[in-house]
Amino acid sequence: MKVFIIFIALLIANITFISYQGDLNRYVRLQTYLKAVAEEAAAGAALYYDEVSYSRGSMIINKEEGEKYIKHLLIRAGQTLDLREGENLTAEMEVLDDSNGAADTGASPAVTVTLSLTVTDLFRLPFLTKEQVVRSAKYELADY
Amino acid sequence: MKQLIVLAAVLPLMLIFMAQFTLEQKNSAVINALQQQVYTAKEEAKQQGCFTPSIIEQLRKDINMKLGVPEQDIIIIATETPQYRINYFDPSKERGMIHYSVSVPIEKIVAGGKLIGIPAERNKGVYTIEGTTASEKLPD
Repeated sequence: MKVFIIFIALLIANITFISYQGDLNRYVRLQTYLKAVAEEAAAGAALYYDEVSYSRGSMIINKEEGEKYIKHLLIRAGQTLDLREGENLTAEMEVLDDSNGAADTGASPAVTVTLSLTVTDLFRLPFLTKEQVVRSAKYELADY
Repeated sequence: MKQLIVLAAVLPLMLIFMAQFTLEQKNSAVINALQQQVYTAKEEAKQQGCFTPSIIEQLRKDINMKLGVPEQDIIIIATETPQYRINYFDPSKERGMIHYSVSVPIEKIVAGGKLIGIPAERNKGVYTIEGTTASEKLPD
C-alpha cells in the first residue's frame, strides 16, 4: 500500500509538472505571436497616409485605411489561434501625427497598436488562471 | 524481490515523464527558433516587395542550420511576385500584400510512444507559421 501511495503521488506530481510546462510554453509562444501581430498591425497602419496633407508638408495617417488593415490582421490571427465561442481578440489603435500635435512637440508621427486577447483559462491546472494576454507595439515614422 | 518487480514495472513509466519533459523543451525551442527565422525573412521580404528566391533560399538554410530540419522537408509557400506599397487597403488582399506560409515537420510529439501504444506515423506533426504583411517597397 505504501509503495502504491508513493507511486500515485509521483504520478500526480509528474502529470502536474508536464501539464504546467506545456501550458507555459504555449503561453510564451502566444505572447510572441501576439507581439508579432501587433508590430505588423502598427507598421502596416503607418503606411497609409493622407497624400493631400503630405503635399502641404504635414504627415497625417489615414486612420480609416489603417483600421481596415488591422481588422484584416485580426481576422487572420483569430483563425490561426482557432478562437472558440466567448473568446475574442481586439485591437486599439492610437495615432500621433501632425493632426494631433506631433509637429508641435517635435515628435515623429507614430502608430501604437495594443492587442487584447481574452480566452478561457490558458492553464489547465486548477490553481493557475490566465485569461487575458495584452501586447502592444509602436511604429514610428522617423525621418519621413 | 516483490519490490524489485514493482520497480521494474514503475520505472519505465516514470522515465517517460522525464523524456517527455526534455522532448517538450526541444519542440518548444524548435518552434521559437522557427518563429524568429520566419519573422526575419518576413521583414526582409517587406523591403524587397516579396519573398525573392534569395530570401527563400536563406530561410531554408537558416531553418536547416538552426533547427536541423532537412531542406527538402521545409515547405515554403509565399508571394514571389513583387508587390508595391500602396496608399490604401486593398479589400481583395492582393495588391500591396505579401502572404507567406512556412511549415516544418515535428518528428516526435510524445516520448515513449511505442511503449504506450502510439504508432510512429501518428506520433508526428507539422508546425506551420502563416501570415500576411504589407509591402513597403516603392516602385523603382
